[in-house]
Amino acid sequence: MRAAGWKSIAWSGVQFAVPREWEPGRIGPRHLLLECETGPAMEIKWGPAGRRFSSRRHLRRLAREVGRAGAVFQERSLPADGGNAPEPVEGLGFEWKGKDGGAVGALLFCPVCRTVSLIQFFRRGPGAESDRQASRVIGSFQDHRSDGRCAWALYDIRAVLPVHFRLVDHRFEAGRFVLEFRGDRRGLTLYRWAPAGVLLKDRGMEAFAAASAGGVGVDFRPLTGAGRIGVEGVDPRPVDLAGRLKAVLRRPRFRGVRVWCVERRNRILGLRLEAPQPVTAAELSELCRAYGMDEETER
Amino acid sequence: MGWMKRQKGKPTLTRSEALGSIPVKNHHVREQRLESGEMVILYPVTARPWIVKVSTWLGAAAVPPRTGKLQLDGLGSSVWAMIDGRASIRAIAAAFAGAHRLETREAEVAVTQFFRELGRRGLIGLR
Repeated sequence: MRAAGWKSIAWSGVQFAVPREWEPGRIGPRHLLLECETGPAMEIKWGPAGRRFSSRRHLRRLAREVGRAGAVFQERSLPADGGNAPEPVEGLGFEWKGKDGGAVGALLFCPVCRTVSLIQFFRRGPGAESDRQASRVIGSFQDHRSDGRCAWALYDIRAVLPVHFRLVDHRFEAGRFVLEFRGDRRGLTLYRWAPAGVLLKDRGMEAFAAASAGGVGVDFRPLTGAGRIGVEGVDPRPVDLAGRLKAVLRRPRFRGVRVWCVERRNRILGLRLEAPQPVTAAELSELCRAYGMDEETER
Repeated sequence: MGWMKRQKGKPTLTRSEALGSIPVKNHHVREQRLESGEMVILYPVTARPWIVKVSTWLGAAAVPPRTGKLQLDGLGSSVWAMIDGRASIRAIAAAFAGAHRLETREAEVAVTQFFRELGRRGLIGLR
């Protein structure tokens, strides 16, 4: 997926490559707007298709909506190599031109996972260059994986999580990224902080993990595996009768927290898993393997 | 699944133009560097016009301007030190990103948020 000058974007099921200088400008549960230096570059929306979905009918509806907005809409060949979308996706191409600009786009439908995706590439410069980029983005497009997992890759982080973890909240603030997932009666929160050198200047990793990763009260121990500098802590299994009764009733939320420093990139990564049963180190390790900086995790 | 909604209105400045702006410190601002290396900015704060009007109407003496203080953390101090009246926001963000090994876009967001806050307090202007 990765090539010189290109990077991978993965969000809520869809995955594709874009030029390295394109960055997310707007992020929604099933919507991404990517921007470059000169303004919006690409927009994508996706969702499940209804039982009676027809690409042709959907495109006609788009044409009507665009026409009502005063722009000219026309169907064209798919902006992809050879005019075909990557298997098994079926696609139709379109183009619209309005007073203030225009775009080429594609309506993609996957009969396997029944996801419909609408992509448009805003006209910014010479048509040939835009078409070449559009073609490469669509050529790399995937809306499902075959391993039962879901990839998440934005900015410099990447996670490939079990598909039962559904995103419930996300925050991409300067210096602090938080992704919250729920699923299978568990809550998973992924963190990324920067710059590590400044954040860890006046305090140790344990204090940082307790304050920033929801690890207050957790007894942390240093993490020495794989040459990482980090800490790990889990809420212990209750030993008193009341605690055990609560555990049987699944009242408490047991936490497992792991925070580690990626020194080479001056970042701190962390995750917190909350579950009705005590979290094991093996569970944390498995999730840690699936989460990291770009270029570090499995594709 | 609806059609992508078009943005209403156009921003007065493009992102590129905004990043090309040059921040300039307010002449009335004074700086103090603490032993920790952090910076304290001292700036005059005048009373709000409606307070002046009310106090004048009540016959009180004119409200003298007080000195506001803003202590910057290490990151803020390093960015403040880069404001020299020549470097653009883009250049400052790039230097900040390089110094802390941050992504360019993330550094731009952090630096512009910081400048917005400084501008809101009247500590800098943009040209």
